Amino acid sequence: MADARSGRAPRGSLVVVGTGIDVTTQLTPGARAAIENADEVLYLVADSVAALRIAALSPRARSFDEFYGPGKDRRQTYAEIVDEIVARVLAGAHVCAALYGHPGVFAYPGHEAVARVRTAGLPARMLPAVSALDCLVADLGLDPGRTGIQSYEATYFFDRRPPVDPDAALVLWQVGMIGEAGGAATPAVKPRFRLLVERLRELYGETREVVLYEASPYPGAQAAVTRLRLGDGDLPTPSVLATLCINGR
Amino acid sequence: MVAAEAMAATTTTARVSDFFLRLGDEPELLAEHIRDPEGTMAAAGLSSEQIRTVLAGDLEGVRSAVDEEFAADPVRRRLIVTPRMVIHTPKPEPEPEPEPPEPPEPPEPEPPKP
Repeated sequence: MADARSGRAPRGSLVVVGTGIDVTTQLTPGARAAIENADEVLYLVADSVAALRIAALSPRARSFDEFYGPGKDRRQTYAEIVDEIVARVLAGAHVCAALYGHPGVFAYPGHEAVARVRTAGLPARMLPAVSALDCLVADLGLDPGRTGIQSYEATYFFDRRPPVDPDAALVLWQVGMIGEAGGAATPAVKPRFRLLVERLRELYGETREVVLYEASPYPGAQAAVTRLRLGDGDLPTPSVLATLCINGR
Repeated sequence: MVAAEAMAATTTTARVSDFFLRLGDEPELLAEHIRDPEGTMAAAGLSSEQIRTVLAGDLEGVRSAVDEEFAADPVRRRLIVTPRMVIHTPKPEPEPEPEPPEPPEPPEPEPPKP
């Protein structure tokens, strides 16, 4: 880390990258180069193959997993993750933070770390990547340009009740975690999901089709897609990684 | 039994997760895999059961196979991941400002003296 040639104090930097959903085929060349060339790699991914690939690309890789704990306030976890990234950069390291999917989509720590490093006068940037929404668009054949698209985190949507255009597509992220504050899905998700569907039924009518979608992180494996009508009586419990989608019309 | 299956049916320690890593690192293998997934997996030494699992394309099936590989390897076990979902944590409502004390009532003007 020390700059032996110039003798100046080392200047750290930050690159925040995304792994894509399928790390084997969606990790961009830019993200890969950032991981391979960083002094330190800190990562948070959603599947074990992604962790394995990052560890293979950088023996210096370390997971953010240690910052999470059962019952621990998630805001505290995020604050600690950001503090750790910024501290390593201020110490002079060229740091790569690798987050699954797109590093700026549903990922507060990436944005906050970039802002704080820049405030400290050091270089920081975020590289775009393939998000779950990108996979959904491809797998479900949904064109956001056709009807417009509304995108909300499921709990936020349920709590805040934003105005909805029933003719535009609607994407609700993390329906399998609706109302959860502890970081793990509990049996309470099922009745909350039923309430969410009742709310959607009021907005869209009971014949409108809803898709529960989970992108595949593995090459060759298909996305998990469950189709139902809002009026269906027998509702599944969405998986932790599921996204709900109602296409526009 | 086709030749690929015969080759893959032999005892193997090849892992699906290793094959996935190779797909990320070897563009020629990925191109060949897109054209002939069964052939590339057989050539990589995956068993017929592993090949069937991947070819079936079922997300949960592939996830189970990968998770079993990680659980069986003491080195990889530490890389097993629990998805960490974003929690909707609205900022706490700011404490309401204490209301300033009511100004004292101005004294009633004295009625004009007659």
